[in-house]
Amino acid sequence: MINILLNILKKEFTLVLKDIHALLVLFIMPMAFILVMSLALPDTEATNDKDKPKIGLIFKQEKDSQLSASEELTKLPGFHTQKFTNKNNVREKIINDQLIAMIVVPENFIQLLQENEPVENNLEVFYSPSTPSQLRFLLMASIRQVVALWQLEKKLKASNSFLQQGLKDKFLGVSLVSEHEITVAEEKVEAKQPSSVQQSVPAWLIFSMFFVVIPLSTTFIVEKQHGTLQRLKTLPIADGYFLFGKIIPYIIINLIQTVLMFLVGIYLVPAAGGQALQLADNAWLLIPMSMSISLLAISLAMLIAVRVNTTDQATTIGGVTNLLLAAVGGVMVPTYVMPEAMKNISGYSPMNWGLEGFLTVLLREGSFADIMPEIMKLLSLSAVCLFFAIVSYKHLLRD
Amino acid sequence: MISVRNLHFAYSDNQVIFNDFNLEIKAGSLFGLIGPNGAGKSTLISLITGLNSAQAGSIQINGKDLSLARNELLSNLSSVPQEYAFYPKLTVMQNLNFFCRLYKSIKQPEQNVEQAIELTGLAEYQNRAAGKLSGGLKRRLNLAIGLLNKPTLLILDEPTVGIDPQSRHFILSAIKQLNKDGTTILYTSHYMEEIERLCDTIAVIDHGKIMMSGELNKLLSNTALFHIQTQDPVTISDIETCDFSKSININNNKLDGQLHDAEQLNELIALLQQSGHTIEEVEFGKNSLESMYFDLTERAVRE
Repeated sequence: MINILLNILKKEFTLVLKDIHALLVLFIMPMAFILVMSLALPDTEATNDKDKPKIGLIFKQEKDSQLSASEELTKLPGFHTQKFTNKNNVREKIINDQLIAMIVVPENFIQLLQENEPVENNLEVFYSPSTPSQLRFLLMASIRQVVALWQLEKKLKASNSFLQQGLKDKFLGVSLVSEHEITVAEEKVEAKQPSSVQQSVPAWLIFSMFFVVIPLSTTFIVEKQHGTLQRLKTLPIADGYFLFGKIIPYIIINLIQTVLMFLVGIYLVPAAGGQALQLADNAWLLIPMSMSISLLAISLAMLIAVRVNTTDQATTIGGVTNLLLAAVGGVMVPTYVMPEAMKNISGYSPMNWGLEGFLTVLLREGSFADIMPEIMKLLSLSAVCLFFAIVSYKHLLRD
Repeated sequence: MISVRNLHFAYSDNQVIFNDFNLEIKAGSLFGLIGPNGAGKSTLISLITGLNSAQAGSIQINGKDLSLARNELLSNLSSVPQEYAFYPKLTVMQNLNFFCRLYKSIKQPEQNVEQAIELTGLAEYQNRAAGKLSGGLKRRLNLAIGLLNKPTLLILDEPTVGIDPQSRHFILSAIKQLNKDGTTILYTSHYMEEIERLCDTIAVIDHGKIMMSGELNKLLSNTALFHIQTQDPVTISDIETCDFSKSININNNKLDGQLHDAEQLNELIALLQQSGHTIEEVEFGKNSLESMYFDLTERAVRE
């Protein structure tokens, strides 16, 4: 039995590999989209100071001495800083003002540093979870540099002997800083907005996964039109072989797409000058998400393939359905830039379910329980499509 | 071999195709099934190959009911559809290997593939993409796939449509050889000369009913065509006393039609002479399948 299934799988793979258009649509198109869309945003950032990564600043104490010293913080190279007078709701500010981080300077912090006294409260940096590690590293290095300057400032003015004791060594060494070890408390804030690469990779991956409708339906319709299906149905084997023979190869193809597209996000996009996609420990959750999306894409493709009569119909119906689902579902236009009404409509697109599931894994460090609602929706619709596809297949060639 | 009894079948739109239909095909025969489009040939094949299920009646193959032993019977049966039922993008060999390995009953697929290639003369084309073969070679590949399981019953649905005379000759010879080797063949075609050349038994069906069936030689010798030409025009009143006058076509001084035997011809000639006609020409010979077919199914063009 397994030999028969392997024989069918071999045939399906051979047919897909011989279909150059299918390979272009399934692999090259999404790679190109991911690269282009991921690079488009960083390119515009570099040209405009306002588009540089935004940082918020909150000073708990608004004394003159602290404020004047704090000027250094507002000039962090490579960042656009914005002061906030209201000290509450750090989380909302990060979300609403699209900040990559918020720096909170506690009361008397600068004064205590300059007087070489122990600090009571640490300087705190709150990150958006979408902030890449390179930016975090750069920001921390800049902050530590400023803190070191605050520590040195008063001493330089007060004592020439300090310089004689080897200022250079102390300035560059860690001892000066370690006297008042600055530990930065990091807190993650749930973000609504993914980075360009976090948006592009899953979005275009899902889009391409749904395009299995083209090779699947083309093969199936050719079988139907050429009488091959009639011949297959007169063989002494169950219909289930042919159904699994269709489903399994395309699940494998979808999983290959998933691995390839994430590799593009992780390696190719940064090599081309964009931000790298980063995976956390929960990356294994991408597998059940991909499988669920894949099952729906294949079930929908099978339903279309069984119901239509020509490859033209399949290509048109499949293509238009994919484009509509993608446009509505936040693939082409991210949902966070959509007006509220469209955001609500977006929730009805299965592509949006898949995208939300991926973003829950990538952006919110979600658990399996967090992606279960999306998985359940995808699998439920998949079951409905598959049911109607099987019923139609059973009746095929009878009338 | 095949026994169809009291078959009733209607499509889902309640269009009744067969009602109390019966047919027997003997083991080892080369059975020609003919009929106009829409007569029910394809539906009958779909029922025998298990694509459709009858609402009533039974189909038995080798004494076993198809509905009860479908997989066992289908292992020894093969259907070659009219269409090119293979994958155009795969090579001849890939197609044969794929279809051969779908049979659990085939223990040595390489051997079966080799034999099918040999019988259909496809050896030199085995690495060519099926879609790039000529029409004749495609027909041969279609047949080769049908031979992979070495069927005891082979169903061929118009296997020579649209091919050159050489390929047709090759296929018909192969079919004849298969039948000689013991394969029962159910053959449908619109080419009457093919049926006459190949088949030992035939059935003409129309509107889901058997119009005529039996051994082809006996059927052809049962009726004979005649042609008589007289010197003067003939009218129906000249021959109306004849029992079989309704099967005679009169066109001025020419009469033609079908007669059962030479005795009827003599009776007709005598009648014409009694009416004062001088006979100029008489032709009388064995009937052709085509003329029988037209008489049974009418000459009007079908959809």
